[in-house]
Amino acid sequence: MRQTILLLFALLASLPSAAQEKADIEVSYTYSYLHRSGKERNKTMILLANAITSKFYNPETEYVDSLENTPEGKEIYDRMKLAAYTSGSMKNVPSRSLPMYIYKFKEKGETEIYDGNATMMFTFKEPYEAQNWEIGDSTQTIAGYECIQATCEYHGRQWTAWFAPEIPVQDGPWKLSGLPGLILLAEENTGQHSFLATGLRTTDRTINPVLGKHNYEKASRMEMLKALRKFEDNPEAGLSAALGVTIKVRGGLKFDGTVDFLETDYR
Amino acid sequence: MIHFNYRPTSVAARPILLLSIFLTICSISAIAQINVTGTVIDRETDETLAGASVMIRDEAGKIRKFSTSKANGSFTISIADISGCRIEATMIGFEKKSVSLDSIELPARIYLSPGSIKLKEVAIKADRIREQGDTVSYTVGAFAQKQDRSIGDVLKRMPGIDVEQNGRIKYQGEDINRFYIEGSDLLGGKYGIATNGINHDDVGAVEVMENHQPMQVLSGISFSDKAAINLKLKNKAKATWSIHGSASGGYSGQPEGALWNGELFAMAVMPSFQSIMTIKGNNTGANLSAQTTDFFANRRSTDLSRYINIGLPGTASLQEKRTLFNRSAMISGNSLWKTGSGELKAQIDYAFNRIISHAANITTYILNDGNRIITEERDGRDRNHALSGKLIYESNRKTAYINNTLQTNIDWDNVSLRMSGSIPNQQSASLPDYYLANRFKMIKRFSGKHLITFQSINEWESLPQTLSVGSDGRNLRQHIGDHAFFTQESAAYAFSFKGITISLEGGLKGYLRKMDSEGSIGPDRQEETLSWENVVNTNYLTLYATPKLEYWIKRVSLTLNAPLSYARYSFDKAIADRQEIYFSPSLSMNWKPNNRIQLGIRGGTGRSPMPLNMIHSGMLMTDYRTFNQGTDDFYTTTSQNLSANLSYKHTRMGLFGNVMALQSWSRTPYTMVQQLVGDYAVYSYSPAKSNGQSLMLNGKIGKTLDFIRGSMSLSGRYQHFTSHLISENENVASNRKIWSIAGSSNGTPARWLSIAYSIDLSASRLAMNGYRNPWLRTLQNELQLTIIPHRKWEWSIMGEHYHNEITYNQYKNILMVDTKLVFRLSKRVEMSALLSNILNHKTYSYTTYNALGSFESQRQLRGREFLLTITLRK
Repeated sequence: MRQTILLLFALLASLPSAAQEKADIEVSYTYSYLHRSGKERNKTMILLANAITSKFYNPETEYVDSLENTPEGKEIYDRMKLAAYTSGSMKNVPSRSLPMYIYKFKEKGETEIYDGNATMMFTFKEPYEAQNWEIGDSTQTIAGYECIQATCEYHGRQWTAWFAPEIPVQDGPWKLSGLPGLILLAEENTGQHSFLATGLRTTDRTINPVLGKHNYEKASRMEMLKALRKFEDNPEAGLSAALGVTIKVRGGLKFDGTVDFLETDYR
Repeated sequence: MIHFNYRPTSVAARPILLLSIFLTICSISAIAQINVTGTVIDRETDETLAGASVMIRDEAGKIRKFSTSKANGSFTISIADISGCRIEATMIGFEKKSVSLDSIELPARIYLSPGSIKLKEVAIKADRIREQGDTVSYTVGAFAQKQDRSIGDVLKRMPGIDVEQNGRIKYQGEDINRFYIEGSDLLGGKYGIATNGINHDDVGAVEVMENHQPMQVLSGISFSDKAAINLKLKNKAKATWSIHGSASGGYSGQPEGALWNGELFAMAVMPSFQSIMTIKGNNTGANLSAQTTDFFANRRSTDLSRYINIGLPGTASLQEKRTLFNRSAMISGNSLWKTGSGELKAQIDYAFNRIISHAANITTYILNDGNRIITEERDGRDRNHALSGKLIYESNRKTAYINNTLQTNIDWDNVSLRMSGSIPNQQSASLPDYYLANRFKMIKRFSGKHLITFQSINEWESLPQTLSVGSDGRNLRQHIGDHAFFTQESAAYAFSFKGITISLEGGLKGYLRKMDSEGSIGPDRQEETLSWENVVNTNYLTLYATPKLEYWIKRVSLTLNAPLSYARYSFDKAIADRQEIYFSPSLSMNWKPNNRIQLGIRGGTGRSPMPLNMIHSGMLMTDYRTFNQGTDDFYTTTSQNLSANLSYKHTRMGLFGNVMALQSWSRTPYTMVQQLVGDYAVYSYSPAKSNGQSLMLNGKIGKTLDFIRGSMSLSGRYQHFTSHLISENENVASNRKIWSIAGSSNGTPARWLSIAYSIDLSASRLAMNGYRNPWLRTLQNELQLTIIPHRKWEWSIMGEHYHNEITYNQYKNILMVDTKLVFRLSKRVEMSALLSNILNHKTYSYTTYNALGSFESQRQLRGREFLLTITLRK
């Protein structure tokens, strides 16, 4: 009995230390990417970072997760959906359309990834690795900061990043990190994906864990990418499977076959 | 082997190309690598630092190689040649350290001193205004500027939200219907206490809930076109008392003497308890009355209004802070306790206000035998004490709503006015007001579709008024007693099915009122005493039924209201008893095709009784030279009105706009008559038909200016009124037109600078019987510049310029300038010094000329003032 209590105490004591890590800086990025339809989409992403830990996520997804995390929040969310449905403005209801969270635990040497689409969500861990950057000579000013160019090849794509040595946080959007300054712009060379910093401030916000963890299925990186590809190639089937009803889109869904994910090394 | 990958680039390409060739040759030849190793250490604690950036820069400052310190603070960088290179370590929260590699021993120990690396903060754009369903959420931090203190200062900058001069808040041109703090309605309509008291730094976001139905029991049944505001507090302000206060002292040249200003504000927001306590006082020209005004106050059904009307002399048309000679204090305590299923609220307020005002008019008549000068001076003083209390129990659930509000308001108002000139006199009035009311409302919802409502309202008011006038050796005294009791009991049933709600309310209203007055002039030893009196009862009993039809499906709501009432008036022989039937239908429509656009149209027609306090057969004196005769007939007025409003918002762009139009017509079977009898003016009513009309147009556009973290707005207004009066047996039709356009913008173009600018141009014209006076324009420009040279210091210079047209093409210009210096000792302590009216304008006077002479008007202004303030925060 006594041991159980001690164990409980130890568990309780360990919880806050894991949950209460504070960020030093908050950065908002606009993530622009090509949708399968060939049209550009823009999403706001947030990076919370300190010297050794960071979290990169879509605030809308986190908002929905935080709502669904409590019974009262769930009720609010249901009411919001109902109100939007009756007024016909579904677009205004927050949704998990980009359910991405990337945690970089640099001291532990681990990256925790939560990713997927609105119907399939996966999670896995991989060793934390900074990209093998090469620093260039070009400079440009982004958001008032002088940024230096750096390039790398990562998981099948060629990236060009612009980092600000004035901001001593070796982090960046998505999995990109390891430059001696914050990455304010990262572009992939086919133009399908880019991250541009739109705002930053010092902060004391805590780096909270994912609230909706149970929504994510464990898989390896390759399994996830292949499953998502299968969905992208036939979204009607994917949606039908997810919703349990047969979905047929009149005229078929249009998609551009050249559009691919942030990582393409699964092909 | 090291590779430097040089590409042709936009910046300094040619020398770098040469350098790169040189370095490539070097790198081929330099096989031997140097390992630069070391540890990064915190100078204060001597602990190793993980996650620091370590860079090797060459002579040109280019980053050659870089690495990160590991968990034990160590780093290793392999490099071919270190000559002329420097090693640099940076980390957030520490000052950057750079050392020449030539002068350092390896392994290097690099000590970093704690310090802040200043980030040029760039507004996180997506966060400024967000929209979720029907809620628009404004991030306070994204609109606040360094010089802001209260949340009210920040609210004014949020596009879509309007804070009027008196503190009333509107959203998209419409009054809000609730003001919540963390979802609780602590203050009711006295939200000025919150907007003027709560520190903006304690508020995370301001949420506007559009189409807010405050009674949960009616949600989904009864449509609301009003919005509510909710303040979302930051965690640090919750579950604790947040307290702040300030004390100021200084000196003023006019009114001559010491200046003081103090305030203490305490707020607790806990899960089951909320409270705000505040105490304030000043003699610096800050009007506190707006802070205890109840903006949601129901119209009193006791319907009493003062007959005696003596006002203080008018002030110059400048901002109130320039013209108000006051001594004010207020104390307010508001608490809310959440019980099992409801809330209990207690509010008590006391306010004291003493205002003095002085005016002089000098009229010069040019006569053949020399000039004749008449000086008329007016000195007024108003002392007002107001005490009010409210006790509210409310249970707001989905199946039932219960509210009982017990309320009392007691005012003591004493006005005295001394005039010298053609009719030298001294007036003083004692005008207390005692009011007590209880309102009870209960709504119950059965099986989702049936609603039953009971309501009971009881109000009592007493409004005694005493006026004494001393003039020319004669004394005049008049006392009026005016008491009224009102009761209303009603029941309603409503049935809702598939978006259609049909309801019927039936009830009874009873009203008892007695007014008696006594007035006399004298006793003068030579003259007889002249006296006049009134005794009037105006009572009624009304039976009413209000059928109502509401249709609310998806994006459209339609409401048809058709109140029908039968009233029986008895006047206790003053005039004949009377029976009337009133029918006043109204129809309103609201269409919200999407979340951006909302259109509302409303129209109504009806008949209403004249104000019952017009009924008296004897004279009543309203001031030293005006009498009111009253009427001994009963009249009803018919009126129609039509209004439309359209609002648009695009939250992502931060764009808000609205336009509103209101036209109304009224037909009264009586006309006011003005007659001059000797030195006196007598007002009475004649049974001549008179028509009145009014038209109001308003529009406003607000937009965020993200590139300077600011916002801007543009607004326009047009009003047109027509009315009739019979003056000296002549029918006078007057026609008044007013328009104004205003613009304002604010922002923080640089970290050290914030700017706020506004411009207001307005004009008015009065036409009587076709004779048109010229348009008179006023133009006001206001600018505030705040410079922040250092995070602890802040310097503002602000002022306004007035360009007022007195008569056609004759302008009065005046510039008022203030400056303020603030020093922040710490997060909790702040000191400031304010010098206002630097140019020391003490009067606002102007002279106009005509063929017969000249007229000079003089008004006093607050002179140059110096005020030192210390502010403390918990």
